[in-house]
Amino acid sequence: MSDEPPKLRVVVVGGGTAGWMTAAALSHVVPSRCSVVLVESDAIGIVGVGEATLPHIRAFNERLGIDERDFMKATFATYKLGIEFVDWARIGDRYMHPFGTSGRGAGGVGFHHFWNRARQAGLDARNFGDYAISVAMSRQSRFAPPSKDAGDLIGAYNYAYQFDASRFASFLRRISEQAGIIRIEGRIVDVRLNGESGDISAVTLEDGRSVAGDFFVDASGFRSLLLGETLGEPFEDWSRWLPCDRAVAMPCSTRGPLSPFTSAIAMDAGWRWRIPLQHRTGNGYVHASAFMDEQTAMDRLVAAVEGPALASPRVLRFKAGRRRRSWAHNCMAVGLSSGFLEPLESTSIYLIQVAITALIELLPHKAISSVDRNEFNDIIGVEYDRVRDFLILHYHATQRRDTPFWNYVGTMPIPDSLAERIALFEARGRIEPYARGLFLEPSWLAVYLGQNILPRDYDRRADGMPAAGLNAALARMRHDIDVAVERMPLHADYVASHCAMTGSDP
Amino acid sequence: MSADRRSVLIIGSGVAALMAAVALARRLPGVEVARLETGVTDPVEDAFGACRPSIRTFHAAVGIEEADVLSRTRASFRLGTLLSGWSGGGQFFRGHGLYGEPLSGVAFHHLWLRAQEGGAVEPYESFYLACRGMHLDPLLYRQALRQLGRAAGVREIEGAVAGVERTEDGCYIRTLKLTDGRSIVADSFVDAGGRAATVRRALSSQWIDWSAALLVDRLRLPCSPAPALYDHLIASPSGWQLANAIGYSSAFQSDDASGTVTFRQGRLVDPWSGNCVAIGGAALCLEPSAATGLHAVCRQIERLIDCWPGHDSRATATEIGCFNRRTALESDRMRDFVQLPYLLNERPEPFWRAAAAGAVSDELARDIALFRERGRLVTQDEDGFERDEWIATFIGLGVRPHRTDALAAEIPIARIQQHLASIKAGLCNEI
Repeated sequence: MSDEPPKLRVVVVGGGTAGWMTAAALSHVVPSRCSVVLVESDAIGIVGVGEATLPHIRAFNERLGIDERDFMKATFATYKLGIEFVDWARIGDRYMHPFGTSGRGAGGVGFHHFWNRARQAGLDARNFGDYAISVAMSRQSRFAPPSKDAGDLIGAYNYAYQFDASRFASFLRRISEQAGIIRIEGRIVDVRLNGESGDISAVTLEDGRSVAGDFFVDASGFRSLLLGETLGEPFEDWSRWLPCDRAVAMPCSTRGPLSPFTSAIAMDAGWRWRIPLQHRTGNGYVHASAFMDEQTAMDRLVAAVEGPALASPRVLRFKAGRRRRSWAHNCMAVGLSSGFLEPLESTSIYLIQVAITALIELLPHKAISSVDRNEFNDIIGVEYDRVRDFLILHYHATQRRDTPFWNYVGTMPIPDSLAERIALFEARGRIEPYARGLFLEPSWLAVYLGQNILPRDYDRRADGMPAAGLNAALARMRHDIDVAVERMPLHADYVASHCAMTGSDP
Repeated sequence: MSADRRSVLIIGSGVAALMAAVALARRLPGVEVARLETGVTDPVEDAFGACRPSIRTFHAAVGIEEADVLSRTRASFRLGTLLSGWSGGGQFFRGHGLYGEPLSGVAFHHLWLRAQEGGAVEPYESFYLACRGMHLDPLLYRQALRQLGRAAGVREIEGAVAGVERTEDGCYIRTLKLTDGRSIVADSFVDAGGRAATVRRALSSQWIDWSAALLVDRLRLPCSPAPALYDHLIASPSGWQLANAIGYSSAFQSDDASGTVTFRQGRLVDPWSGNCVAIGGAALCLEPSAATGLHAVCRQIERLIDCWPGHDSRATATEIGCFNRRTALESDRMRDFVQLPYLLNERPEPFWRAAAAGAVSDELARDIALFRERGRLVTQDEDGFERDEWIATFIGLGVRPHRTDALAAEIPIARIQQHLASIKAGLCNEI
C-alpha cells in the first residue's frame, strides 16, 4: 500500500543472546515495519547468559518458525524438566522446582491443601514433589514430551532446553541474516545524540563509520553502553538482597546419566550451577565477593565438578538490580544492559523475551510516544521486581547459619512485598495470584515446601474428603506417576534418537 | 479435624446475604452458618436481577442446577447490554465476554480494526460469541435461595440489629444485640445488610465517596421487569434509564416524583476488619448501569471462601490485608468500568459534560490513553471483566486507535477478511 508508514530503522547494539534474539524476532515477525542493522564486535566476547532456559523459549522458537530438532542439533541442546536445588534450606536437603504442577486438587482447592492435611493428620503424605511427574522423570533421567490427552496428572508438565548459548547466538545470526538483517562488524567508540531531543542519532565505529537509526536497542550486556553509559539511566541496586556479584564458570566432561534438569547446589558463599549439554556439562560458582574471593571460589569449583575440566575457569562480575527504566528516549535495553538477576531460576532469556514481545507490541513509529514508553517500562519493571522477590525467597528461606554468607541471607531484611507473601503462605498455604509476572503458584509452592516453609493450617474445604479416601487418592497418584514414567525412554536415548548434535565442539 | 467447628452469622435478607449463606454452608465443611433475617432489603442492590456469567460459576460451585434455577425463578439467560443514545445517538451491544478469535497470536480487535483498511466490515458486536449470564427475578431468586439455605442447614434467626458487644480491644465483635434483647454469639460475622452496614461499621471503618467520578445519585424504580435476554441502557439528558429504573444526578435534575431512592456511590476502605466482613451493598455501592451488583457479590463470596480462616485461629493481619487489597483493586476496577462510557461520551448536555470531566483514576486514564494510542489494554492483577468487554466498550463508543497493531499489519487484509468470514459462518451455524 502506498500510504504505509516508512520503515523504522532499528539499530541493535551487541550480538550476544539478547541482540540476536531481538534481531531474529524483528526480522521474522514484523519485517514490513522495520529494517534492522546489528552492530557487533568480534573482539568483545559474549557472556552467553542462560544456558538453561524456561519453557517460554518454545513459544519464541515457534513464533519464528524454528524447528525444534534443527535448533537442538545446532545448539547441542538437552531437554530440561526443571531445576534441582541441593543443600538450600539445610545441608542434605534436595528438592525440585519442576516445570509443572504437583498432584491433583479438587473442587477448586489446590492439591497442597490436601497434602498438608494428610501430613498434619499423620497419613502417608510423602514429599510434595512425589506428586509431580517431572520430578519422577528427573530422578530416573527419563524424558518424553508431554501428551495433551494424557490427563491432568500425567500430562501436567512442560519442558525447556539446556543449550550452548554461543551456538544459539550463531544459530539466530544465521536465520536473521537469511531474513535480511544487516550485520556490521566493528567496535563502537562514540554515541551521537540529537542536541535538541537528547535522542540517539547514530553510533560511530572505530574505523570512522557511522550507523544512524530511528530506534536503538541496547544489547551491549553489562556495560549498558547506550542506556546506562550514554543516556545515564540510573541503576537500582538490589545487592543488599542478592549479594552474589561474581561467577566463575568452567565446563567439564559429563559423568553419569544425562540429566534432564539443571542443578543449583548451595555452596559456602553462594551456589553452583550444573547444566548438562550433549557434549559437556556447564558449571559455575555464583558467589558474593564480600564473603569469598575469586581464587577461593575457583578452587572450590574445580574441586566440586564431576569430570575433567574442558577449559580454564572464567570470571564474570555483575551486580543485581535493574535500570530504573528500560526504555528511555529512543533507546530500549534488552538483556543484561537493562538489568541483572543471577541465573538461579534461569530467567535471563525469559526477561529478554518479555522485552522483545513488548517491543513488538509497542513498536514505535518515528515519533515515539510517551504512552508506549511508560507502558513498556511498567511491564518490564513488574517482571523484574517479581522475579527478584522469588529469587530472594530461595536465600531467605534457609535454616543454614553455617557460614557468614548463609547467616547474612537468612537474617537479612527482605522487601515488604515478599515478607507479606511468605506470611500469607505460612498462615494457611495461600498464594496470592498474579495476573502479570513469571512465576505462578506451582513455582512458589515448590520452593516454599522444598525449603521447609510449611503452612500452619490448610483450606478447610480440604476436609471435605474422608481420611481413608484421601490416603487412597494420594497412593493412587503416586502409582499413576510411577507407571507412566517407567514406560518413558532414558533422556540420553531420547536425545540421541531425536536431536543428536551435528558438528563437533572445537 | 472435627472438634473445631466454627460459627458464622450472616446479617441480612437481601440477595447477598442469601447467596453467602448457601455458599458458606455448602462449601465450608465444619462451619455452622446462621443468618439474621431482618426482613429488610435494599433497592439499590435487590431490585436488579441482571447477572454476568459469574452467577453461573457461583451456581456450579455451590451445586445449584442451572435448569432448576431457570424454572424455579422464571430466569432467562442474559447476553449483555444494548447501549443507546451514547455519543451522538449511536447504539451498540456490549456482551459479557469474548469476541471473535485471534489469528497468528494477534488479538481479534486488532484484526477487526485492520480489516477496516480493506473496506466496510461488519460491526464489532456481530462477532460477539454470546457468553451467557443470567437474568433473574430478584424476588423469586431470593425465595429459592432461602429454601436452598435451609436445606443446607442454615439456621435462620428473625430479628433486627440493635448493636454489638465488642472485645475489650474494640477489634472484634463478640455478640450481636437484637432489638428484642436477645444476643447472638458467633466466631465470625458477615454483614450483608445493605448500605447501612450497621454491624461492620461498629468496628473501625472508612467509606470512600466516588461522587466526583460517578455523578448519578438518584434511582427511580417504577416497576419490576421481566427477565430479558439483554438490558437496554438508554442515555438520557441527565442520566440513563433501564427497563425498570431511571438513574440521574440530583445536581442536574430535580426530584419530581415520590419513591426516589437516594444513594452515593463508593466503597468501604476495608471490607474485612477483625472478625467481620462486609459484602454486597455494605461494602460497595455502584449504580446498576453495568450490571455489577450481583457480579461483585459472586466475586466477594468466592474470595471470602478462599480466604476463610483456618481451623484453630483467627485470620491473620496479613490474610485480612490481602483480602482487602484484592477486593479494593477489584472494586476500583468496577468503578472504572462503570465510569468509562461517561468519560467517552460526547453528548453536549451539562450533565454529560460534567460526567465526562469527572475525577478519573490513574489506571483508567492510562487505559484510555493506551487504547487511543494503539488499541492496547493493560493487564491488571485483579479485574472482574473480560478484556473483550473493555475493548467492546471502547470500540462501541467510537474510539479508534491511532495506530494499526504491528503484528496485525503483517497479515494480508484478504487473510483477515477470510478469518472474519469464517468466524461469522461459525456463529451463524451455532444459532
